[in-house]
Amino acid sequence: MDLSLYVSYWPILLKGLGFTLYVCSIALLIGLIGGLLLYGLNRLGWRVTSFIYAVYLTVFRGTPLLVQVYLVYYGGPFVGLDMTAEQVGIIGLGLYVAAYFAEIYRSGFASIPPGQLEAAYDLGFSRWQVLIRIQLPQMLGLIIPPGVNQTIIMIKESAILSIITVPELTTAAISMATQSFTVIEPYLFLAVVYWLLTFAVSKTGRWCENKATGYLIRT
Amino acid sequence: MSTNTQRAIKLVDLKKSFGDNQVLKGIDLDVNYGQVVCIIGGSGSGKSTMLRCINFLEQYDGGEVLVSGKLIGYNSDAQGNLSSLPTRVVQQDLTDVCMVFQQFNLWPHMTVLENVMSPLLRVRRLSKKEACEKALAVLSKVGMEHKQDAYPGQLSGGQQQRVAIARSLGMDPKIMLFDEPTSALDPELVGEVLKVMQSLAQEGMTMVIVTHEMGFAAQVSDQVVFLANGRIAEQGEPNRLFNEPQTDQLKSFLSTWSERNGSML
Ligand SMILES: Nc1ncnc2c1ncn2[C@@H]1O[C@H](COP(=O)(O)OP(=O)(O)O)[C@@H](O)[C@H]1O
Ligand SMILES: [Mg+2]
Repeated sequence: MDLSLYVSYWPILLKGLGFTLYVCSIALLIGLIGGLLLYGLNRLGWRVTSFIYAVYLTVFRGTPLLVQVYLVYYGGPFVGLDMTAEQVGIIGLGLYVAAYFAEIYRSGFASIPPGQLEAAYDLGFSRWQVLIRIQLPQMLGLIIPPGVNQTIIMIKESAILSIITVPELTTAAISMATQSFTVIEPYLFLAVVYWLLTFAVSKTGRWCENKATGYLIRT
Repeated sequence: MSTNTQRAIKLVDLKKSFGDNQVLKGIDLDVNYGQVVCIIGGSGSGKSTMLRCINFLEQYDGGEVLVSGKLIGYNSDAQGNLSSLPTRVVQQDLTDVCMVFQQFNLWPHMTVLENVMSPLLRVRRLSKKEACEKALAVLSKVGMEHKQDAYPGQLSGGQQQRVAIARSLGMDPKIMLFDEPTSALDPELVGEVLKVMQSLAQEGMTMVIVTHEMGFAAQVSDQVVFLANGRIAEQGEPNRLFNEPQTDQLKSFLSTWSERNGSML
């Protein structure tokens, strides 16, 4: 184990880590908002929108992320879809995780007895107020644990983007390995850093969950 | 006030179907201001649906619901064509009407005080101080101010229902609808809720109450309506209705009830 390797390669590794954080943050944002839009699409209850929802979920949950990213990045140019590796990576990861978030939202909304919403409408609450004051506060405690789970999976899956040369953490470690003819140092570093990232996410999630379910613990 | 000329609630040939299941087959009913009307009838006869049509939690598809003379849920143009009104307008037209549910429907993530204050802050737009004062006033009216910091999950069913009534009272309703308010309660808790409702009736609140508490119905109501198969089979003063039922349907309904609950009143 040659620790001095890290001294010479830390700029590359740090840049890779930064890019992984960047990719995952944007993808998470796409997933959170996209998932909500997808949920809304399904909630419209029209045959067309429900069909789109079902197809979207089947495609994005039924095929590996690797294949999706490959197909769009290498196959895209043939159908006029010309995106950079980064664009494909970020959007691909985001759309992929949105499919999972949509289902998480669905179970969250379904968990609130409709009578509570009727009472709110009866008292004059607007749709928006019902969402903000009644539904979201109660849903959070329920959707945070699976949401955190999904985020952790997404962070680990982001390593796949190295295959289409997105300059993220895994790509950085691979180039360190090939340049320095070492294996242990770069990949051990990779394992530790991914573990730290997911550990931080899981701790943060637990803290948020406790905040959101405080009212349940007191009862 | 035009309380003498205008009915609190007027239902004209009210109809409602779920798919091809017609649940309300033409209901006509007048409720005056200050009146207490109890609705009785077997399970599935359409009692809840009728009540829910009044405050438009169900969209009715025939006839009219009028509250203080105003058509609820629809706009009628000069030719008599109906068009749906936006939710905001319907809610505006129904500000005087509040509903109390069988399942209380308190919001479990808010304390008792927050439950009562929330609509005052969000809908009435009162200041925090005003909302708090008002909330405490209605809570003390139902004898629940000592539990203001509790969460609904920490209360008994009877206490939850009283808080739910207070939450409605905070909005200063002129008309209150009760859908089996004591049916989800343990028998020993029924009394405390009925007591609150009785005092509301004495203060002159206009109330429409779906209930299986015949003794209570006989005591407080000006008018009892017996619903069967989506129609009003019989209606009248409680004394007459309970002691001299005219239709076979009501006779058998009452005798089944007495068999289960002992003597009538
Ligand atoms: N949302 C609904 N969808 C379909 N059918 C319903 C719905 N609500 C009520 N019904 C039907 O309408 C009938 C009357 O129900 P309800 O008004 O709840 O009766 P009650 O309150 O007198 O027991 C029942 O047959 C019930 O199955
Ligand atoms: Mg009912």
